[in-house]
Amino acid sequence: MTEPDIPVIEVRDLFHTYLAGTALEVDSLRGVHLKVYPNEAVGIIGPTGSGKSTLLHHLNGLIRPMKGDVLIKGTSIFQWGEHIKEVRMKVGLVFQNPERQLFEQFAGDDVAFGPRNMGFEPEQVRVRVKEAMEMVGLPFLYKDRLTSQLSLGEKRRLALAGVLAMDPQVLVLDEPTASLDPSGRRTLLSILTQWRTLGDRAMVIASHNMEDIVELADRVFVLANGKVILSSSTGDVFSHYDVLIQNGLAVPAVLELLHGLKKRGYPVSLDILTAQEAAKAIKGLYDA
Amino acid sequence: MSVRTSRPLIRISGLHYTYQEDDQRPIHALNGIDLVIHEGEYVAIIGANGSGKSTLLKHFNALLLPTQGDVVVLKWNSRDPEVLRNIRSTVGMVFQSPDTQIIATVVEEDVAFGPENLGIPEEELGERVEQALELVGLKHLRKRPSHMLSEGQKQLLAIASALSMKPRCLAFDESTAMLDPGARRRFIDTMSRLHQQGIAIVTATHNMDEAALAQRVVVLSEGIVAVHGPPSEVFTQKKLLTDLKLEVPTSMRLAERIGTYIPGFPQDLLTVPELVNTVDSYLGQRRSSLI
Amino acid sequence: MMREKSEFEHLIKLSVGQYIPTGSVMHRLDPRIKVIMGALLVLSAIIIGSLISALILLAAVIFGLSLTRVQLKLALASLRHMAIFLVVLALIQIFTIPQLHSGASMLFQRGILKITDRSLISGILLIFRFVVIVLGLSLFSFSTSTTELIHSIEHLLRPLQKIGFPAHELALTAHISIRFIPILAGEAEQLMKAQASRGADFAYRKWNFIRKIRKMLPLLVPLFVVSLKHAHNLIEAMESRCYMGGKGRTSLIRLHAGLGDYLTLAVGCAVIASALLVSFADIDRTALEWVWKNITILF
Repeated sequence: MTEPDIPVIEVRDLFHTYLAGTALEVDSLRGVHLKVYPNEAVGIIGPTGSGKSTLLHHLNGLIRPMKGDVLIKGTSIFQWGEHIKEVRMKVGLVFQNPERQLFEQFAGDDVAFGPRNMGFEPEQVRVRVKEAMEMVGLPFLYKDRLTSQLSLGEKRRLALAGVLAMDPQVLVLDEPTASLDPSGRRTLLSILTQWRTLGDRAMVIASHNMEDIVELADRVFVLANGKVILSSSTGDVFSHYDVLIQNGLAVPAVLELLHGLKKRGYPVSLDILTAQEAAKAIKGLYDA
Repeated sequence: MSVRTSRPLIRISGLHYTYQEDDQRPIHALNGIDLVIHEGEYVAIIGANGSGKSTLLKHFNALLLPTQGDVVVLKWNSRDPEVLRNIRSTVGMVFQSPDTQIIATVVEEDVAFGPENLGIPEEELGERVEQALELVGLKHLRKRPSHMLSEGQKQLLAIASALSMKPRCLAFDESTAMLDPGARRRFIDTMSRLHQQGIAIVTATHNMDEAALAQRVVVLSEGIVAVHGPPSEVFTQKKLLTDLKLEVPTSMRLAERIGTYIPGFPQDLLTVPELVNTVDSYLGQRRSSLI
Repeated sequence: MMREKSEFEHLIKLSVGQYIPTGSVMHRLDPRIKVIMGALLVLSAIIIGSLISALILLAAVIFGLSLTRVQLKLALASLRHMAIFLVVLALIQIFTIPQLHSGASMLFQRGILKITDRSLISGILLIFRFVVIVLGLSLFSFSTSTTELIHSIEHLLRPLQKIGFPAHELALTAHISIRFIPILAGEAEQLMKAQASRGADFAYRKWNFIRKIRKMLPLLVPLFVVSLKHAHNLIEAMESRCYMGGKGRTSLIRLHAGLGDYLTLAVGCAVIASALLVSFADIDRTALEWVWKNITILF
């Protein structure tokens, strides 16, 4: 590989103040630095009020930085100007509980909303809708179903299809599995894992669900009080048990177990993420 | 204390519930449920989306009436409009969405809403508000505007607003679904505390770790009870749960893995702390057996 | 896009109201007294025809504001926006309204621009009226939360419940509306962002009404759906807590007017009454002539 790695998204020294200039103003982001490279999945975790959602809304130009910059494929957000629609195509943002944004009577029309707005020809739109629906596991014939008749899991997938139909290079997701039952969650996680295999795609996931982060993310940024306090590989971040708990965060169950054992004096490594590895480690202690 | 010797609080027999929207097909949400909730019991109701959890719960306080069958709270049948107040002040309900179950603009006024509706004399109102807020740990926020609370605090307020009616049972309809892990922990701790004070707790949840804390787990599937019993019995039926699109608590998943390496490792561990203790004692025994 | 966000931020700010709790003596005053005095103040500000009356009212309002312990600059901030508008209106009054010139003594004349003592008074009076009303409303909103306002109106209207006037239901409706404005504003903001992320464009450049509606559907339809859902959730919550209308309900909040409150009411009414008396006595012209004479002497 001779090409230097340009981050597909870069956040530089980002500041944002909520309700600026009023009596209720609060600094939600206070100098955030972040880089997302092609083909990687990045997790963002942080307690409520840490500025996660605000950060995400900067990534496709919904909010302009008050100070600092956001670069998409090397170009500053301030220079995109009228071409901001292109950014929205390249960076697909999936909001929390996205089924709330469904408005078309028929399911297929809602998925087509994005591509139509992007100016594609009807035949292209149709192809994109079909591919997007198939990717989320909804048969194409669902396009004629009434949106209101779909179950929560189906609606969630439909909303996701609506974003995938724009064929983004970066998928940004805010709490993707919130409110889903275990089966719905499994389905969604496998769709996201599958999507990554398309190649040259990157993903950013903000979540409270640490198990999701473990499953999807290669690297994790920990946001607290508007700043990134920890940024490293997933395994490394979760080994910082005390820092995470102090900042009101949870850790995956595996780490709860290992940390509990460590506190009782057992020599366990905290750089473990899967149940399998944890079991092996315990077996190791058992045999010793 | 055997739960079975406690008096029945809510008795459900042959419950069917069918509804229809406009000219759509009728939906059979509940298809024959028999269930008894006893005084002071802690029951979790689990099931996939669409299994009827919420619908069932709303029959407990007569928000919904059966199409067939009966729901009796203490001695009152939910079909009788005269006893609606009695039923609803016996079974309080806490919903999922923090914002839309708070009615008043000030915390203490929201807590007072229920008793005000019951015509509780004014001298007693203040006391009830105080006690309810104390039980959920929000006494210091009594005069706070209700929109200035965190999501977790709002859900605790919802509990207080149900508690002020002095119910014998609290029903929770996925009340932790919208909370972050810290808020969820505090909420569940509050539920346990209230249970220790003798209030029956019925919680419909997606979270298996939460369900594992109950005395009894009821598994719904397509409007009927598929299986019920203590969590250690229900959650060890792995195949059934997978068929019903459910999972087991995370501690059990971990215990299962450990079991593949250490044969005979207990599989019915319901919480991570329990798991840690068990691993610790296993390793301790091993050490002493080697000596 | 950032402008849209700021619009909603201000909506949230508005609905929260300008209540600034400082715990002052004005805050602790029975809100019913404040409502009554506020209404009387506005009425008298409109009725009075005398500058001296206006000065009396203004002095009373400024005194009241000082009691709230809220920074004066916040109160004056609302005036700042109206300043130019007021001055222009006043100037028009002073210089050009012909009816006022009849039977009045001329003070100044150049071409068509005339100032008579009457027009001068009425121009300045206009400014004073606005200032008194605006500062009075600020005084009220700084020291009274919307909750208190609704409670006091409900209490004041309660006697009417005996003849079937739904005071409680109205108050509850007002309460719930106020609660839900910021919630729905937040939902609308989220929806706009979500649809904008899918390429929706809410800036209407075409005048076509039908097209405008079509463009707004991605916002209006989900907003409607989510509002209905909220309403449904609210009904369930209210029914679960045995709400069955206003009959037989007791109330946690009891407004107790004490001696201090009644005294304040008495004093306030006395001040307003004196302002009105002065107005009817019509001593302005003599007072103003006296002032003008003395000023010209000084120069």
